[in-house]
Amino acid sequence: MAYFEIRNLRITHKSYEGVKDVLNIEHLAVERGETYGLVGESGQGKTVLALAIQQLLACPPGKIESGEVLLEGEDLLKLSSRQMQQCVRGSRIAMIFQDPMSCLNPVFTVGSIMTDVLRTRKKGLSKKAATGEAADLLREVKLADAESILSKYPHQLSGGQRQRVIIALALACGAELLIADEPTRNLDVTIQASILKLLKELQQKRGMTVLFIANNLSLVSAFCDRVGILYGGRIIEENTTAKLITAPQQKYTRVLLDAVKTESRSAEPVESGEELLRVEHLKKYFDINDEIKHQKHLCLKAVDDVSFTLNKGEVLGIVGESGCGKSTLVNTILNLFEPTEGEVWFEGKPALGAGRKGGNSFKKNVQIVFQDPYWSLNPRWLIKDIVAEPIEVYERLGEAEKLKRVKELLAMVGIPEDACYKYPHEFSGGQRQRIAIARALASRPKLVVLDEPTSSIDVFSQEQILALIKDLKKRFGLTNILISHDLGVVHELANKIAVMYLGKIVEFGSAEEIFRHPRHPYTKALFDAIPSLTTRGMEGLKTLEGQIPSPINPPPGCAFHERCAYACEKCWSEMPQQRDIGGGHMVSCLRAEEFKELQ
Amino acid sequence: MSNFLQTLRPRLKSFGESMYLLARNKLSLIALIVLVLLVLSAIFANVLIPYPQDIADASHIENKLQPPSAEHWMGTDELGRDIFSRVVYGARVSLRSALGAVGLSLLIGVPLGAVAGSFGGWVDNVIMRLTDVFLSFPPLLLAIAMVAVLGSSLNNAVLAISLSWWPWYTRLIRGQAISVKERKFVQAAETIGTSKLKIIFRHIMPNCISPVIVQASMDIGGVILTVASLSFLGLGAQLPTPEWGLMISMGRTYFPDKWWYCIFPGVAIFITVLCFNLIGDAIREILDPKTRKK
Repeated sequence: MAYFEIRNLRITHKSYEGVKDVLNIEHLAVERGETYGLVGESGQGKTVLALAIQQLLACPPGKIESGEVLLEGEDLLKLSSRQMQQCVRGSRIAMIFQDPMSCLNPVFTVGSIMTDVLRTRKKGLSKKAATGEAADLLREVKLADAESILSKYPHQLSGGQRQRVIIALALACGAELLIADEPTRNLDVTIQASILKLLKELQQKRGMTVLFIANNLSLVSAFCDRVGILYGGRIIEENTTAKLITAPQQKYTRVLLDAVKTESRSAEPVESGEELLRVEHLKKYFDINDEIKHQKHLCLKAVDDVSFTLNKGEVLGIVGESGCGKSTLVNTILNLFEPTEGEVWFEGKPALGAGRKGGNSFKKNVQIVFQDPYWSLNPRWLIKDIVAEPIEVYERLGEAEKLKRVKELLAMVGIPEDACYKYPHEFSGGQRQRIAIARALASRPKLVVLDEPTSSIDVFSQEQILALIKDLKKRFGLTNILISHDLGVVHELANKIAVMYLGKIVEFGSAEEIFRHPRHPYTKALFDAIPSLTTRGMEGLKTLEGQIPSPINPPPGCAFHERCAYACEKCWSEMPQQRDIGGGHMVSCLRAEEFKELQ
Repeated sequence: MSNFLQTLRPRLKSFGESMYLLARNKLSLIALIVLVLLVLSAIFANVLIPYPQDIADASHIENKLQPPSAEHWMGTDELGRDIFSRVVYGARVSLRSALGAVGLSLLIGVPLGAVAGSFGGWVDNVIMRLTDVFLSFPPLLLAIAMVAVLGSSLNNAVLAISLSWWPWYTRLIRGQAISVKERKFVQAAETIGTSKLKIIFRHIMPNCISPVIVQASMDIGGVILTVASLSFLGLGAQLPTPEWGLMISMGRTYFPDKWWYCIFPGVAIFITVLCFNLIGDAIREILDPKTRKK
């Protein structure tokens, strides 16, 4: 008998539309000590499964129709909730949740959260002993300064640190089965790699069994022994990792695989036209006056002296960890923020601080597609009104003409006409993103900014959206700025790349050049941290240690020196200037010339 | 016309879904039925009541203070008027004044709150300090003071209640507006170049309105109580209007010997307020899935 087994589990969900099957698993078995990866996109039932195993599923609307969940032969679904709480959850099964930002109670210190858990599990444990044990656990998850972290509140920790605290909590009671529900989802690639390494290490040390839930095959390929693909609530394919990746049987598996293959795709070369957008020494500082701590005149340098030019027809990809200033840069260019200093030129005319009229023509020509189509469309508007919004601002058209334009735009992005009279919530993520693209094109812009256009939609739609973007770009001769943490997407679309770190562009140049020969150690580290399908085991995954320094008090010298593997003494004191190292490839690293052989 | 029908269709669908959610909770379903009956009886009061002349100044002294019987289901008052007729008609008075007061406060409070939240800065400061002034008086006392200035009548009581009630909606909607204006679709509208006023009234306000609807439906109960209290104190409806609070006030002198005079209008207030509160809860459940009962 397997250590953990699920048989004929069927879960339904009841709503206004009727009863719907959300999960239907015939058989799933995990052996002791194994790492089992469950891969599927959002909405396929991964989280429902994780919750159902622990009797944490909300019923109703959910309902467990039939089936067994066996842990060492004992059916967990038959246990009372009291038994579950006392003997299973925490002590035998532990769970790491998706979002480290929201699953630690913000009003308690890390120490009191941890000792609380420890003392509930082990009756009669003194407070002091519990604190000691908590500190040991934090050391085990490689949080260097365990004692000081115990006295901190969750908001004072970074995302990576919080996730480590949550892992420590999961370990606290010696659980043997660990359910990790997309543990690295909202984390940066560099931190993701180190969290995965930590999990693997702990698993080997403690002999845990791990049920690893992910939405991305490349994570699983590095981490898991066996993989099951979840689609529409069913496990449609199951195999050892290596076999599944090399010889997928199902079409859906192949789509998932294609989504993470980066090697094969790259952007088509473009003939750059004349200059469209020029950004000169753009700075955006946010003043922070902390009156409680009597610190005045501090400023957060979100965008610090950024300059670049973009020609007609080009696609500029901006990459970097979260908090590096990507979005602030774009928002400042778009006039959503007042810049502290610097200038933006659009078609040779100043675009910032122009009068209302001039500003409007700039706004008409520059549009943005946001990351999350769930939030970027007003939920209370009909689709026809959403798409017509820019038309109403810039053109005076009658109702009938306006509707005709809207239908044309929708047809262009592949949305049927009858969508006009529906609300955004009736569409899937991919369709909503299409609607958002239709809206962005409604004012006939010249430059379209794409802010992570595919990161919150499923892989099937991702492909189609990318194809749509490419197609529209060709048809209308659009110029794009693309923000993305997904280097595959950047690789596929961008001709030029800007790598940002702490508000500065540290490397800028043609995409081909940067992907093939990254010169800045940060660019290199960023590329290395991304697991690919060829990564087997954790050794292939390089991690970038340390946290991003605070942009309020950036370290002197090169901002990256604290985390840089190549830093020398000079890097600690001297601020590197951006230099052209040939062919428009700009790097700001003192030792760039030495790194010709960085690969 | 066909366009209009198409626009209507999604709304009908969401109406159907709301009814489904409402019907899942038996208590709120009962409340809704009772409330519909109340509203209907208020509308058709003239037809329904057995003694229409008794809602005015009629008097049948020979019949005074009779206990409940087949002719007078709820007994009669000190002038021999049928209490049942007066209680049913009172629903019309109470509902009209409560809806009027809440409606008027929404009309003042919601746009002000949306403007304050969306603009921020000094506009926000001015509006919010003004609400603070109003909020620093107990609402009932403020209403009493206003009625004292305006003169006692039901309409003045409604006006006074609205003037002391609107700041709550302003605060509520301001808080919502502050969070809604950070949403991406507002940013999208800004990049599109939509005017500021349009952003406030077409993007931000419709997305802030849900908690206000919940609050307002619960407040109707509270306002009915306040109207009744003002009338009880002689500052609202005047004799011989069949207002519930006023009836209790008049019946007080005969309590507890002639208990029916006070009790039946009181029960009417109790049931109406309870129903509005239950409906408010149900609406909250519909609008905010997070609070739905597990």
